[in-house]
Amino acid sequence: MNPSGIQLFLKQNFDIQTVMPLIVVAATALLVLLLEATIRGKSRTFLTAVSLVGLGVALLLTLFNFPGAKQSSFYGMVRTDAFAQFFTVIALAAGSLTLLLSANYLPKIKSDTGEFHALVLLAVCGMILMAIGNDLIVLFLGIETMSIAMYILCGIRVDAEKSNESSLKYLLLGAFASAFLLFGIALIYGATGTTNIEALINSGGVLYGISGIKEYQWDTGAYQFAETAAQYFFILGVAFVFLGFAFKIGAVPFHMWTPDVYQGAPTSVTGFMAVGVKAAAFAALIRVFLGIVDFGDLYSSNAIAYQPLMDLKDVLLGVIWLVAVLTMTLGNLSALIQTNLKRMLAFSSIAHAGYALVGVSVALRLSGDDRDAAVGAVMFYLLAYMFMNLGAFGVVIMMNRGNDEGEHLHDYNGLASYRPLVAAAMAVFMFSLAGIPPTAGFVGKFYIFSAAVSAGTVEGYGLYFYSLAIIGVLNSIISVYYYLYPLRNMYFVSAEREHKVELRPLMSASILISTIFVLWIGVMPKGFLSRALEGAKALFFG
Amino acid sequence: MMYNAGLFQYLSLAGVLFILGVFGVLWRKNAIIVFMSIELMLNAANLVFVTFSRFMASHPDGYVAMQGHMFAFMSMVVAACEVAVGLAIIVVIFRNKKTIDVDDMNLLKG
Repeated sequence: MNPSGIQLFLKQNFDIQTVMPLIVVAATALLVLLLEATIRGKSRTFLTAVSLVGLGVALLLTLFNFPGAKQSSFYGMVRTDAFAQFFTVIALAAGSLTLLLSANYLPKIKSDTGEFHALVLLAVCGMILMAIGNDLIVLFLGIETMSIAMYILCGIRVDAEKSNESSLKYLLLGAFASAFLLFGIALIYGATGTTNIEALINSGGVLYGISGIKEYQWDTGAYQFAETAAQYFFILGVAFVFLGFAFKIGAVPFHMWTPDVYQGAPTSVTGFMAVGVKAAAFAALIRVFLGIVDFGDLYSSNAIAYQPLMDLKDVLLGVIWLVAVLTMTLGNLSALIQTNLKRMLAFSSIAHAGYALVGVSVALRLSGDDRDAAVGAVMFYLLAYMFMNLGAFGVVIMMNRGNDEGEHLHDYNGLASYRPLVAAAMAVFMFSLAGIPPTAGFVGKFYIFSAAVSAGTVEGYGLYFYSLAIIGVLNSIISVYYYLYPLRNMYFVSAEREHKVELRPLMSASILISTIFVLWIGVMPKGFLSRALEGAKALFFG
Repeated sequence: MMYNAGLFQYLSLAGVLFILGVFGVLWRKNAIIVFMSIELMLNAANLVFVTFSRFMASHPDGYVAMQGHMFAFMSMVVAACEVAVGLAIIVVIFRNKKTIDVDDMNLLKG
């Protein structure tokens, strides 16, 4: 191979530019670890600055220097399309806001270590991998890179038993779910013969796995047996992979860890977990899981000699209907009775995963423009959710004074009288989470439920999608009660004693940015939505 | 004639290991044993990967499916990282609580 041939080969298969944001974030994480060792004993604000510069450079690269649409590189391992770009931006923004929130919070909880910054950056790396991953190997590595960093972040308060406990619970249950995910991937690999989503779609719905083995070609009976076995493996694999994803997004019945882990973890980590992990998991769910289900559909329509065991899509739709309804309802009903704001927000994050699942179920059923609209709605919703939820957790952090104080609902009594701006910001976030206009949360919910309603017009699915939309709206109404409860405390209950609420610059900046974006997305959603739709259109190889 | 273990035998072994791991996680109370059970599940998945990869190498199109072997290495690395982090967390818990029984992890409720 001559030099220019090598260059072409490298350009085609190892285009470094496509993963530049990832490289920048990873390099910054390593740099922060090195700097931490050299500036021991001094302020960690410097490390925050370095990390933020790294994330900022990556954000600029993602926004303005992202490779063209539908580009696969590294032998199809990663795919840097507009969809990946959208979720990379969410991951980077969530990481930046978390670091801003943590700068003044970490000294208060006596966990002011450099590792914190490096771990947040590494978790962001995992999220980016999940957003760009187009192969089950990359997906698995991304999930684990993110999760392992999150396990440590949950337990970063080494001396606090609650933090330890949260960390152990997350670790054991997270690893348990990962094992199911891995086993599911193994079965899908055995059935289809590939781990690459693009190869899967391009195979035209033929099971190239074990039923393609030469020994089986000799007689028809053995081949039939192998083909049937491959179908079983595939269906079982899809079920296991869905279980793994359901755990990561905190969907019922795999949600039990969420409130405990969220409550025990340091508040800034909780916010990061609620928005970043969830968004990344939904990115992978949409790209990879829907890709696998698409393959199953192709197989059903392609099977020439052998009867497909079941209509995978219909069965999955039933499962997702049940999961989405239970997730929305249980999340909201449990949140109603909470007295701890952090725990309440944890249950509310379960409910929000349910709303997003409604959009995923629509994307599963429809095709073409309707599918793009549904996927775009989910992406838009996750973006809006990031700003409103991180903002709400930011206010909780602001109220914190080193221990659990500031998390209880009665700590917010009369806040509006002595900190009107903080109370106003909290009001914006709560209105947005409840889905009241003119905030981002309202627009996000509107797009998701209108996608469900338009899917209801499809012949034979009226009851399915209309009921989903109606249950979703009813749930939003329930949720108004517990979101407005802190507002009632802030505005209409007088304070027994004033809390010392410090307005530190970095923390305030983070809350201010979140407030601006929540209102901006709420008032002028068009630009954000068109970006999300662009991402959705880049998907599905069509 | 020597008897060669085939696809079915390997997959059965992997299935048994995986189910043993699941029951270990659900029934055992010691955090370290729960953790070992999870490792058993991951290794069962690795065995499935390598088995499929090995048997798919005789694909009629001459198509060699190496992803399975690669995936097994990747997941071994991941499992090693998870063990390192997990044992560190368990050590910290033991220092603070003097127990690693998962039933004693009951501070967070509501």
